[in-house]
Amino acid sequence: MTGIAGGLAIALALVLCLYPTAMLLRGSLSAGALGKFGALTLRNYVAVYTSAETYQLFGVTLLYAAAVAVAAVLVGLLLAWIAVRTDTPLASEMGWLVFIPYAIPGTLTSVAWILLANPNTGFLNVLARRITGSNVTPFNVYSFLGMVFVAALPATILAFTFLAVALRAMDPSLEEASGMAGAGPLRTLWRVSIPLVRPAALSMLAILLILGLESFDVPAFVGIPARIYVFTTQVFVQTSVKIPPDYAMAATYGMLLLLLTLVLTYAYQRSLAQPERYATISGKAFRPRRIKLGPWRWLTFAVFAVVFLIGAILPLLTLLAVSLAPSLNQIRDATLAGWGGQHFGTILGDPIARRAIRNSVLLAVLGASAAMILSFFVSFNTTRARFRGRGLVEYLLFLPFAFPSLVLAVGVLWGYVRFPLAVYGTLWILLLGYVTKFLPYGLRSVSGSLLQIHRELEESARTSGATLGQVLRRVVLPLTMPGFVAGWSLLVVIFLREFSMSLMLWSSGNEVVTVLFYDYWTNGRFGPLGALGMLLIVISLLIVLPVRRLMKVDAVIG
Amino acid sequence: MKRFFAVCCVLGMISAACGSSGAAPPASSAGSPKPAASAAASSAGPNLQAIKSEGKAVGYGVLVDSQWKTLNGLMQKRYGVPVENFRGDTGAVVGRIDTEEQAGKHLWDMVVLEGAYQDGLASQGYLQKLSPDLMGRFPEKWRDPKGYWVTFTLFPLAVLYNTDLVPKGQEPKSLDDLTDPRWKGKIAMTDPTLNEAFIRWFQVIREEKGAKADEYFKALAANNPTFFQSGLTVSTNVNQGQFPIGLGFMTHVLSVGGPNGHMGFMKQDPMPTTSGAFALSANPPHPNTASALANLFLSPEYLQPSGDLGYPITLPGIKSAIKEANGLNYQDVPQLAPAKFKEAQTYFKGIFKK
Repeated sequence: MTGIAGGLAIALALVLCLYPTAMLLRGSLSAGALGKFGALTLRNYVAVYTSAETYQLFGVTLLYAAAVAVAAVLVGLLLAWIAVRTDTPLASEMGWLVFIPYAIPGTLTSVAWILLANPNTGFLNVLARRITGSNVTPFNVYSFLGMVFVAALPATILAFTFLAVALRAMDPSLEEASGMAGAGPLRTLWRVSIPLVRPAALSMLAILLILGLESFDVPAFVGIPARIYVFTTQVFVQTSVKIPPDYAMAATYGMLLLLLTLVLTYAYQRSLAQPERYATISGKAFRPRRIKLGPWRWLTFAVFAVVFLIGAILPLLTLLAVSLAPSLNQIRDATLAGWGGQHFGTILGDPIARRAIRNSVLLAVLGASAAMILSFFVSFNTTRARFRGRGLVEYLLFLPFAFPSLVLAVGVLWGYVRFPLAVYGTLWILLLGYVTKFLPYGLRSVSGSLLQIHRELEESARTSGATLGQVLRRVVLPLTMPGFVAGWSLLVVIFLREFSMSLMLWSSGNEVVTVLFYDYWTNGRFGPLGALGMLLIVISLLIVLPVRRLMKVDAVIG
Repeated sequence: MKRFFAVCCVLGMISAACGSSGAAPPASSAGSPKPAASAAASSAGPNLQAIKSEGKAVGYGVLVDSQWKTLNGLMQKRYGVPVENFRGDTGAVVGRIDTEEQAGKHLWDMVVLEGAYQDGLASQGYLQKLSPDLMGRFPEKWRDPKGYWVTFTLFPLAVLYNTDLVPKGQEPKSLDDLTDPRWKGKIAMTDPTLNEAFIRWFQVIREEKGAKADEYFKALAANNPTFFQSGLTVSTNVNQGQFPIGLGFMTHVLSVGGPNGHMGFMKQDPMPTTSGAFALSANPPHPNTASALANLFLSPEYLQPSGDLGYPITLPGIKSAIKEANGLNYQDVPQLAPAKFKEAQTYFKGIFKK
């Protein structure tokens, strides 16, 4: 594994990740058009770094991303602790329940909350006015808080998923020892449990901060109406508003973000520098232990219920209503005349919509599988093999993640538009873009699991005469399976919901569902939008939930 | 692990069996460009067999959904082939064409943009000349002197209002009415810092107002308008009642609102407008279909339905179904030089900054 196969895996991953990154770097130093670099120049950097607007945008973006990341990690950690470590009712079901809202694409979450909480006609505001009899507007999604709220919802699920796996894998004897020494549940949580999941929490914070910095769907749907612009809005201006587009400037803005994310990546790497400190799966057997909360378990249940209501029930109900009602006014007026499946009929009768669904599913399943297989081979080598430059390899593989998807799409375009193989104008350029961008999710998922397996297990197997292949098959893979499947299912959902890169890379015949969402939204076709959204959510859950159940991923979480 | 891979294989096979419509590159995207079917061929009659074997046409441009649907329906009916489209704002369309053509990928047959942007494409060699037969259908003032495009429609910019939410007689009568505090929080506006056509329109207003421009725009900003990147989104929001007032495109009164729509528009004299011009690719991937498409597009058969959708059409004899739109004094919103465009964008960003 550390020989040819491992080397090939690392080489392939590096090429995938570094090729578009290199294109972006070269493009940012270019005066030429897309794919034609022209003379080297620093004029783009001068224009960006000498503009006051750049720093204003940076400040707003950083504040937005930090707010989203902190909120998501705090709430995600709380939910993970409730689900994994307490006797809260339904705790064992929370793993898959919490996954449901993540199947809602970010574009649809934004649409749902716009319909629910826009200040003039949002359903919640209309209801509040009916109840109070006055012209109140308690909710306004078109605000900074609205942006953070909508973005934090899917981010919380992501944080929950990773942190729950980490909490589950912890040896409870450490907490038992704390209890025996006289510490109560909260003190044990604070002094033992949280420090042990700190690497997972810190890495989630870093990842979510990066995601917040580079997100575009919430800034596009919610931020622009609110007149709150972030970095990616500027990138969008350079690639889709300016005539002709200035991809070199877009790449330059991307490089600016890269500096910040390199710092975050370094912090993440440092937190993992001593994996033995966090190795909690060892040769000793253990059984997971749930803290008995007594009557307080109903409070924790209420916390979970509220988060589930906000994150899943309300958006799903809104989308369902929009997909069934002839118009939005009938939802506001609560009149049921004409409700039915006409919008579903429209979607299923539209060859473009059917093709988009097919394309999305194909990309999601193939892409997630390819990404996870590659991630496993790469992670095993980087976590187990002692070779020079291992840290550098991990760093480099993280680079595409640091770019906004819009910017990385420019790099992918630059890299593949003149590729000898006909990749541009096909689904393959989308696949390449998705895998390039989201490979770090797979790496993080698998390496997080691998780090928690103490080497003594593999060493024991080798000492007993097992070959490397047998060690992998009989020891490593079974123990990393939850992380592997968690990563795979996450990637399927991520690929199905991916929006920014798809908007840049799609072409006629290669539409994906999220591109159609945007088209329907701008055309005011809310009914078909809701219907297509519901179909995609159902498809996501039908793909992912059975696999998770089969592989007992959620039993690991719950 | 075996179970997992088995599941993945099954899922992969099911997905593949559903067909990867885009997995194989379109034949047109690779290799050397096919010889363009001359638009002059339109006068010789379409080659039906070739059209069938080409299978489709691809259009890029700024037409709205209903216009693409009408075109697709007509092509299907007449030739049995669809028209697939990439719809986007001007920047997105120009960027896509530029990217593809620079890379030698010819994926589109026709494009609809303003004439000034068609000039840009023509100067790069991306367009072919239209036949005299097609050009001759339109008055000379709408034709590109170099022969590459013809303006077939106008996209007037207007203040829209929801006729259910704004009582008769209380509609805005002038742009100054938009600063009335009764519209605070009630205005949807195409983002004048992001949308190219609206930056130009607002610059016209700014120049007309002269020294009072700052005061006007600050008062407008104080009414806390909600921005949308696309004029289409503004219109749908106004029509659906999310906002009583919107700054968007006049033609959306009908093309978005429909015959039972809920929108009206404020007349202005002159009425600011942008326009839509039709052009053909110099290297269409479906040359015979492109030729037939051009003939159909620039004929009453397609343009009358566009007129029925409310668009002022430049082909003689076709009127807009929006009665008030006929006979208005339309004036082009001028293009801005890059430096002026950036200055205008910066100005409006400062005014509307939250």
